[in-house]
Amino acid sequence: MIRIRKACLAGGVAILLPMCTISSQNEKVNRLDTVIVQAKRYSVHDTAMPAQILSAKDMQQRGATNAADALKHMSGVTVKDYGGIGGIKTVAIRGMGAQHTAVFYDGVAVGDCQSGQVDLGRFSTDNLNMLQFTIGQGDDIYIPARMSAAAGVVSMETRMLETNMFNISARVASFDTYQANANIARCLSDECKVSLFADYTSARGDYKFDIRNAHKSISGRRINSDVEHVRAEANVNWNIDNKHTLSAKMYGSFSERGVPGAIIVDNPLSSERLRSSNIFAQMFYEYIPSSVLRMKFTFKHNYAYDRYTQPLLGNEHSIDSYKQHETDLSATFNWRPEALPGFSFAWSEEVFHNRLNTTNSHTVMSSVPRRVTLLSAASMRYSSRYVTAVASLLGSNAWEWASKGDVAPSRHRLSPSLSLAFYPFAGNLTLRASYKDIFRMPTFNDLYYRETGNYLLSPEKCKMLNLGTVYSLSGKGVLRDFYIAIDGYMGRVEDKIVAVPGIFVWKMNNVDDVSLSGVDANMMAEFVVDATRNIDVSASYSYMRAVDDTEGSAVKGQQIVYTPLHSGALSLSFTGRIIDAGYSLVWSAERYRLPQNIPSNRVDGYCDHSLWLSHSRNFDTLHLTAKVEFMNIANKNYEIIRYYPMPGRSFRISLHIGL
Amino acid sequence: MRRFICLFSIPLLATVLFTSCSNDDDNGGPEGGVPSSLGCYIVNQGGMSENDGSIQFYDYSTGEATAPDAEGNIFVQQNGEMLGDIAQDLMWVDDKLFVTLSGSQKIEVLDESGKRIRAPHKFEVEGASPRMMATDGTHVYVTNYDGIVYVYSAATGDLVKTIPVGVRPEGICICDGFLVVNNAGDLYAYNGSISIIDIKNGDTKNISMCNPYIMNVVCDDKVYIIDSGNYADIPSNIYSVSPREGTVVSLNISASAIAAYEGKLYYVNTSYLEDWTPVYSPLMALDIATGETQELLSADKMKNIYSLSVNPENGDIFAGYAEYGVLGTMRVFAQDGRQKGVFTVGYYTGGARFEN
Repeated sequence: MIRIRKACLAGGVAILLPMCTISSQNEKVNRLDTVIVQAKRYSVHDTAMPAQILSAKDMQQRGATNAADALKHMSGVTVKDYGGIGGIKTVAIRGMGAQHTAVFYDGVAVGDCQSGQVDLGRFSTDNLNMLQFTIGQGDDIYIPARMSAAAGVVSMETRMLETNMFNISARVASFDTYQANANIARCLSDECKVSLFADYTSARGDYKFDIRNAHKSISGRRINSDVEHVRAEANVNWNIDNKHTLSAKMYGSFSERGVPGAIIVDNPLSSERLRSSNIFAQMFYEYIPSSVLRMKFTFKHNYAYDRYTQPLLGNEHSIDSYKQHETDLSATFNWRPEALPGFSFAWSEEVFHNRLNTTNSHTVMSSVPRRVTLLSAASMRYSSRYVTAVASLLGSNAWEWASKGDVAPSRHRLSPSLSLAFYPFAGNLTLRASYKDIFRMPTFNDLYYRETGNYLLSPEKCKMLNLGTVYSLSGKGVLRDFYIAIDGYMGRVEDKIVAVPGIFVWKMNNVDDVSLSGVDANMMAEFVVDATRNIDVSASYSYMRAVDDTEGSAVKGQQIVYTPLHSGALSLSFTGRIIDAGYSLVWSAERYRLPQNIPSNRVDGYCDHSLWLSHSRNFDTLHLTAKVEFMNIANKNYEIIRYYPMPGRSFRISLHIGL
Repeated sequence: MRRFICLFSIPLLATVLFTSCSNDDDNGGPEGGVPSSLGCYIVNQGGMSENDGSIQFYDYSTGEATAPDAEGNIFVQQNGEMLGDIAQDLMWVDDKLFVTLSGSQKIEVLDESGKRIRAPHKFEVEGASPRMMATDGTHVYVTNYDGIVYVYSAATGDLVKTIPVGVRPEGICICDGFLVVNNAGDLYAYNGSISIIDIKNGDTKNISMCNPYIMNVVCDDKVYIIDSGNYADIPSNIYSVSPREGTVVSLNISASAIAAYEGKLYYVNTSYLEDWTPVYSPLMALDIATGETQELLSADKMKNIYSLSVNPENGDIFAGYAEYGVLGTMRVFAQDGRQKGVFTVGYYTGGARFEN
């Protein structure tokens, strides 16, 4: 339960929320001077675009230790998980590809100009207050333009402790996994609060596996899957006065890990290594000159360094290094004219500069590419008792430079978005419809990767139409909260960027179109047994038909790779006087590892069952929680990606101390 | 209605693929003592890290091939497990098949049915990947990325000796008593070479090149190779190598695949427009003696070409085609351009292999 009780509510949370810009529920939640967060869950029942939110407690109940694991419990999401603690985990929305998913951390974009994909496995849930997944950009129009520039948004909001609190957690798990983190918050004054979070993870990750090899099996133990990861961040939130808010974040993440790769028949060798560093600083400033006007400005500089070591021959290795720099500036304005009750207008400008340097033995990229992107978003929102309507238009402009060789042409494009929510009974039922036309730029790998890159690639375009309904109710009986959302959608991805085989080298090209249709369903119910006991139930289901629709394609009409037709999740949790307990299930039907839907390409479906028990106790000012979890209790080395087996049965013991 | 048809087209397509391309009664390839006139083998590389390598037998009389996929091909049928990752080459010598698996870092020795007849040779050293093969009937010579040509007894499959060559050896052939090896050179360095090795005394001559790749064919007393160039300002080119003289001559012909038959060199080229849309050339035949060229197959028949092989007994042209993630196609053309057969092959087919 999220309880924000003290004076810090007006300071800490009020400061944090606008920075996070997570406010799919309703614009009024973002109104600084009236923030009241009392709901046990974040409400998403009245949004015009589909949104799903997990609170910190929800994530705990699902046994999710990183953002990718949490997202597996949401509908419309396909998580590609290469297994283990260090395995990359990316998220694709409704079959559109992971590059169409924008990731935001405390309101500012997390980018990767090289691959266009963000590894969500590296974001621990331990210091997350909330994780939101939105199709489109949500209903809030007071957002940076970049949040409008993706088909879907995963937004993380970090936890701000209450006044002068100190939390420490330690965790021991199978496969020599050790994790510890500490979170401390101090109010320097009534207006200024600082917090620090540090996290350390170490894992050998050498789990046993046994996977299918035609009529036999391949078994063994994963090697080179160790991880060591240190992460720290510092936050300052200064509520200068009722009109001025300033906050800043410094973030550093350093890891060294093995890259175990796929299980290869008769070849157990694996010695590729990856050393990564990510440092960024971001600032947020908001000015509210009057009750009808507000504006906010963000700045971020991000530096990411990856050092990839791969074997050559014998003990020799090559070292490829990648350095990414991104500088991002945004300005967002919101005007709610008194003369037009219910109307709200927003304008956002965002400019960011990306540069990718490679210094390596093999000169992987053909040049040092740079890109400047300017996004301009104009939005209008009308809300009343019966309706919420949002219209926005995004202008995207990108210019590129390369240190040598050919350079991609500049690109300019307009992307409209419309959404409408109708509340026929001015209460529990929402009918909604939305449409979004968006695209994703080719990544630097797509454009400039040596020999395969194609600087003339067109952006991948996608269109999505959504129709849905939400029903929610809150009562005082046994069924305290209930929520169900069902959305149907149709969409299309055009000019999909894929590698085309050639005799000598493969070339990136715009060749495929994909037709999308499906249904997402989510439900949540909370049953209150008595004052100290309650039961939470949540479930999600996705029917996702994402088929190749390329004219003349040999696989036209067939389901695209690694996209299950059916998938879902279930979570049951019991909160008691002494013990809390829970069960969670993540389930997926079969998928295909290659575009051709034939039996030899089929990747079996899976069910991952987990159980947990926890006990909490207060000793004066000290709050202690002990938790034990049993993951994948069916002990199946299922594969989300073929030849990347997931760990079998494992356990995790956690101890959390709050002061 | 259209969606209804689509739903049923998936299993229908799979059914068609496997009923038209495989013989359900087969438990593998043909039993021992297969005459070369009966058929040939197809080797399919498969995708990297996908364990998709496969081998097939194509029966000339029926025009049918065994199953192409990694979990149904003759190796699986005979041995119950998958062949491995990147089936780069297959050598059919007497009654044995040698298969190199680059990703799995091993060489399998099989009988003609595809049954493993001895434990595979495993290299188990990072960077050591067996690649292409040649034979003189007595020995099988295998290039390996560790810079060594491994020599195996064709009769027993035992390792006989090793021959050090250049960096990342790829294509190999035997001509006029010499081994000719294409060394691709360091990755992205385009500092390749050709090693010409006198089989009798081991004398070696190295000739600097740019990027000689797997294509390496013998025609009369010369070896023809493709140097792939640097994919930028140096185009691919066919070179003629005279092993005895130790000389290399450029033919000034860009090509991506070559094959040879009775004094003629067949070649096809895939080039790219500025936006990298592929452009396929016709299949041409160069008369080595006269220098005359002739179009054998039009460019539209070369779309998605991935491998080229010629049956040494009758000159039939085996053209292999590949698309991303889709089982390939092999078309068989007679010398007059008439299509004699078509069948499904595995992913990224390396082409047909005939008995030596």
